[in-house]
Amino acid sequence: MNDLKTLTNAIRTGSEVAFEAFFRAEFSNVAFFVNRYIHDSCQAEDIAQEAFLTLWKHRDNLDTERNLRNYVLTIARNRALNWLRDVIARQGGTLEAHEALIHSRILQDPEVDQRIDALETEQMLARVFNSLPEKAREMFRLNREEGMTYTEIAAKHGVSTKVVEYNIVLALKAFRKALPDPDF
Amino acid sequence: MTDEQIIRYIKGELDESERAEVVSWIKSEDCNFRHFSRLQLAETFGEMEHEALSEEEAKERLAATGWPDTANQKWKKKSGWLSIITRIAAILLIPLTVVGVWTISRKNGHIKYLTESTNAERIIPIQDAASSTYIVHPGVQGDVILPDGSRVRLNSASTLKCPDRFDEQARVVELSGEGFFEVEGNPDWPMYVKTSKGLTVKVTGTRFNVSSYENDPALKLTLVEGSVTVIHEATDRQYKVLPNEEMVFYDGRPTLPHKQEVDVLPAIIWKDGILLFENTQMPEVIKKLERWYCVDIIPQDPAIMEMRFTASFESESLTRVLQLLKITSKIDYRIEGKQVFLTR
Repeated sequence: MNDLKTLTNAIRTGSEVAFEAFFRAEFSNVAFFVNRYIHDSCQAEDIAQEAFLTLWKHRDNLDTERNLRNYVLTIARNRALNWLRDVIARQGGTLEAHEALIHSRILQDPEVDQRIDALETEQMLARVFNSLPEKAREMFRLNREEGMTYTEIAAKHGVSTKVVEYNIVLALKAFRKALPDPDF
Repeated sequence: MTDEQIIRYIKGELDESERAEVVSWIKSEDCNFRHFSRLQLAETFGEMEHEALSEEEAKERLAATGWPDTANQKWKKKSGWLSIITRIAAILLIPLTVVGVWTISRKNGHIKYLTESTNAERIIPIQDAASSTYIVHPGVQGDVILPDGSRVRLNSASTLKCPDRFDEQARVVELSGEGFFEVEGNPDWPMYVKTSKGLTVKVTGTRFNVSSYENDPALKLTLVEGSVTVIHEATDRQYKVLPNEEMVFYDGRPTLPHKQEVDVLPAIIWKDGILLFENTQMPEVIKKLERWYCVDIIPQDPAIMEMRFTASFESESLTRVLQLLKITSKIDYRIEGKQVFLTR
């Protein structure tokens, strides 16, 4: 999390190296995202490229509180919508235009924003999970993913249920600390 | 229709006839659309962990876009000669007829006329000004980039006035005519688009179209994305507009706007150089043609005004449009210089 803010700050103050690193890491994701909605991989790559460059052009306005990935995906999404509208206008009546109309509608769905935002949360959760001590990680996984009870986990690991409880609570505390949402 | 087939569609694995099948299934019912939407979300966001590019791949891609030279282009918010060039050079002219003329005028009303002889030439003004007015004459369209990076495409016969630098509290511009706005999002820094009809559009980050011509009896606001509030200056009443909605304020009855959900495409398609008429009444057809082609159109038979016209044109000459009008509506025309007479 700290490194993301550092990256954002670096880009903001004009570091080409930081931007290149961000581009390298996220380009494929952005292109993939766009392609899912426009079904044209060449154009999707173009749009993705343009989105990164736009982010760079407006780096002065980058908000360090906001996720970079969120930013570039939102720019890409807007450009994809423009593209789809072009298709509708220029190829009206064809199958492509009908598809573009459908994709345009689903791309404007507020759920898309939520999912983009959720990426940040998922990223954070994954990071927290991976940085848990091995036992806590394993026990948490058994409990949440496989639905095993504390007693079952205790039996499997040859420890008392108190130990299991301790580890699960450890994991939960780590998550709670990372997430800003108090309802977690 | 199986989920499997839909997922294959989402992944782009189907051929044309299969795609057509899926499309018609989606369109046949609302619940199909929603189901498709859910699967699309799952198939998109469930797979967003791709490999990073290799260093060479990344360098190659960036190089293809002109990087790192593009790294040095930046919106500098300084005042001075450099920022004027940046700002004014952002106007690109897209002539719809052979010759277009546009002007820049200073606040005190002094007007400088500049003629461009070729397409889309960048023109640099002579002097600094506290604010600038961009005038787009009939027969052309123009793009303006505002000091904050927002973009406005102005339709023919339109004027936009904006300051060199936006105020810290709000971004205020004045529009007369028609413009398609793409406003940089910032909830703490709203933009106000004032119009000559006593109505102001307030936005924070949106894409919308405002049509507010002096010689039109109404102001029409079409919202593509985001949210806007329209403020009636005299009474301070505010009206909220949601995406895909269009609100029409009739002169003389501004507190009773008419609002409806629309397909936004017809209202904004002008910015792509497409002239669109959908069962449009002749008075409006005439006004649009006059602005687009920079001519005076004089109907010589009052019955013409009751007629309606449906067609779409892209980069067509006026003669072609009139020819089509003649064939479909039996309205004859006679061109004399900059005047067009319509008869039946």
